[in-house]
Amino acid sequence: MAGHGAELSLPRRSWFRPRGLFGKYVIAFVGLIVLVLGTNAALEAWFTYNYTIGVLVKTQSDKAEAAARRIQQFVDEIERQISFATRASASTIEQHIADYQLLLREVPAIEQLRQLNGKGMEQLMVNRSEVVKNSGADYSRSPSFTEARGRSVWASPADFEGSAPVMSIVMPHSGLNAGYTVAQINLESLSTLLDSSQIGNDYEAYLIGPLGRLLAHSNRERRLGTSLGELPQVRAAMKQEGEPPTFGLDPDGRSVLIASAVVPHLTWHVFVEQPRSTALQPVYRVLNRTALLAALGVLLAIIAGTWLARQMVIPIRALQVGAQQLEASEFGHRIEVRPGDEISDLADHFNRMAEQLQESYTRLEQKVEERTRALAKSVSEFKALEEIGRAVASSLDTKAVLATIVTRAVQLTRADAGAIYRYDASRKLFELAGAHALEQGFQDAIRSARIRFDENIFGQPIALPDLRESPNFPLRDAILAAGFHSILVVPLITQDEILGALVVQRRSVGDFPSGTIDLMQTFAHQSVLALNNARMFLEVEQKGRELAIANEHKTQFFANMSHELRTPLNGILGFSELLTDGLYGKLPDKAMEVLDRIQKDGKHLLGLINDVLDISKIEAGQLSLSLSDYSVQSIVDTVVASTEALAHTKGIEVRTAVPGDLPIGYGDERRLTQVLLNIVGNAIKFTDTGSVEIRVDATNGYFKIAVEDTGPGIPLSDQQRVFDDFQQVDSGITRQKGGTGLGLSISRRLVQAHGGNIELHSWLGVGSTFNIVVPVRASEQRQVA
Amino acid sequence: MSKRILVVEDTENNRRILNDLLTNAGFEVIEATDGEKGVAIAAEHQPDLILMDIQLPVVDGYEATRRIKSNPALRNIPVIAVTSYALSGDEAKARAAGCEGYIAKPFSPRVILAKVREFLS
Repeated sequence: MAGHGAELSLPRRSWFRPRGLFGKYVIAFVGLIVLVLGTNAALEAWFTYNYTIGVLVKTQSDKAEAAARRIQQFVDEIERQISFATRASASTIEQHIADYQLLLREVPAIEQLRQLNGKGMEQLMVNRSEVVKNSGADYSRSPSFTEARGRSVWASPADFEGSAPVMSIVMPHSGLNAGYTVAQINLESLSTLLDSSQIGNDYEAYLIGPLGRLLAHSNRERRLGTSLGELPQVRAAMKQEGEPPTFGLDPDGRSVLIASAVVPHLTWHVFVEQPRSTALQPVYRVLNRTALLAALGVLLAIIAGTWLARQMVIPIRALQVGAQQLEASEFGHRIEVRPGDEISDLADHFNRMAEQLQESYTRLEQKVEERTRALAKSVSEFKALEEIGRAVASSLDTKAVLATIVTRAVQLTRADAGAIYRYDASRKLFELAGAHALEQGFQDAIRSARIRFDENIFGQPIALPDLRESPNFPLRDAILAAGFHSILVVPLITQDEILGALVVQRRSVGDFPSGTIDLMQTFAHQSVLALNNARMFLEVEQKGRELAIANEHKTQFFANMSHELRTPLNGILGFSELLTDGLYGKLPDKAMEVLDRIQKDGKHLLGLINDVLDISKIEAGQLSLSLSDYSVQSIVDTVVASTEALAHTKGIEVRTAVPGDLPIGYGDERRLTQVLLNIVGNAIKFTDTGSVEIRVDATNGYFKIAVEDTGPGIPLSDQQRVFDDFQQVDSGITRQKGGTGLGLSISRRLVQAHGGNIELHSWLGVGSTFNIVVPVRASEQRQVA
Repeated sequence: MSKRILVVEDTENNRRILNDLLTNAGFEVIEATDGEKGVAIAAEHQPDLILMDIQLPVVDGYEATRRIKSNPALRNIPVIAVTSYALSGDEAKARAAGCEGYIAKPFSPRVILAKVREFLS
């Protein structure tokens, strides 16, 4: 179910993976289309722009050329008219006046006509309002005269009278009064040549004369005479350098598309312009259209790209989800992709792989299950065997062990019931020793039957798949009557004798597998071990009991012997003391000396008897403490008093250091006295010169009684051994110093019985210190045997 | 008038030692060889002190002491137990039976004499 959850949540997340396949597809697709459309649009815009500009420039140039031609024609026409008037062979001044007046009528642009003689003197001046003859004004120095001399015609540069542009045309003539005709031309009418009817509504045209001054303009509101020489196009035209710029500025500073033409003879420049925005209108239209188309293309590309990417990615996602399901061991998942392409082929392969995996997995699971079952079976067999083994090893309750064996045997062989028999060799009969799932009535029937040992069939396991076919089998009818039809009997045998039989029986008819028979033989083996163990244990137990009794006898013997030995000893010691004390008269010195020897030997013998009795009691665990309050001071006093004579004899000083504030002890006073006496006695016995010191202190609830001597010391290797039974450092010393070798052993055990211990510190040649440590308040410890 | 001491003891040697020791010391000694006789002789002769062996035929020393101590006429006679049961608990048992003193066998005549004098002084 976890896999299902993942299936729902994973794709949702992964569409937006920053480096996901989907994103890459969409970006690549859309990017490509945008690149193509963008390049196309840019190229189209570039070409459209250039083409449009070219066309516009050409159109405007044509218009400019046309305007220039018209202006030239206008001037030429005036020149022709003047020429015509002056060439007329007027011979009189009146004729000239008539000619001039006719010319003024014919050509409105001419404002004034002047006739100069060959020396530059004015002879006649005619305008529309007056006629002046022979004014004699001197024009000999005016450019109209100086420039025109020697030429057929001379046009003065344009000039202004106020804002009105004017120019003079000077033409020489011959005949009567040969001289020059100077016509003053008003150029205002030139503007009509540039108006919208001539050049079109969208354009403006203007004429620039010398010094960049405006001679005419299609817009009548423009003030003529203003200098436009600073406009880049005007400056370029006047300097006549290179290509004239395509774009320039109008007097208002707006960017305009420019075309110009030169009026040939006059070096005037005609400019035709239109605002850049107007001029580029078609370019903008094309650009807009292109941009619109490109945007549409991009939109379509996005839609198409997304759709294609989804078409591509969805099956891949399906594959991915399928792979994840496989990864999560969900082998039941199948990938569904629209058929027909390679991905669907891949999905089919994938699905087939999943199927095979599922099959393999199922097969594997089956195998694992089988193996697990087999393993569990052998584990339970092992456990049963282990349990039985443990029971055999640890339990001496043979009946319980055999019952366990039968129960496990029935369980593990999947039988319905079982029984175990012991063979009574003396009666040559099998007896029921344990049963599992057998009814009481049937058990009684077995017990009342006498199952004899049949050597012929016994020794190997007997498997009877169908009991009805074995008429001679013991208890056959009873077993059949109880509802059992097959039976397996495994003998319990050792190398040389038969111990019994293990039997399992089933209600159904059928063979027993060899594994079952092997298992039963293992059980039989365990049963044999259990029976043997039980038998051996009985023997050991019997021996143990006999040993305990023998030990008891020994202890009793020692106790009795001790008593029996003491009684005559009492007489020996008592009489010798009475003799020594002169109760029976004074004895000779020699006799006294012998008597002393008798007493010493008697006391030694008594010590031996006491030690042997003590050790036998300790070993028998019969030593018990008689606990009561005691005073350490009095114990020390007793010991010092008892050893005084010996110490005095040997010349050894016995010192004591017993604090007055010792607590009252609780323990066996007589035994503690015995211990201290033994140790102090030893110390005196083994010390030939020097002293023996008894020091007592009480700390942390323990008495420490230290007995320090200046004797020969005990080698380190022997320090532990001195506490062992019958040990003295040197057996030669035993003979020399007397003692049984039991004293320290007994002492240590007595102290241990109090919950204390005896420690020994000794240095060869320096002396020995025995520390008796006993609890101030002792409680009897478990016997330390 | 010399003090009278009853020695209840089945071993002849021991009776002899105690008799010689105590007679020599100026005491009058009377003897009994088993517990039953000991009780009877004590009742008959009213001794000043009884030295009581413990392991005795017929009636043992503990029982004999208990009988003596249960007899109002004999109750005040001190009884010193003399026993070869020189084991823990013996002294306690003897005192429980009513013995005022306790001496372990094998005894030293000097110790016996000292003990007797202690009781009879």
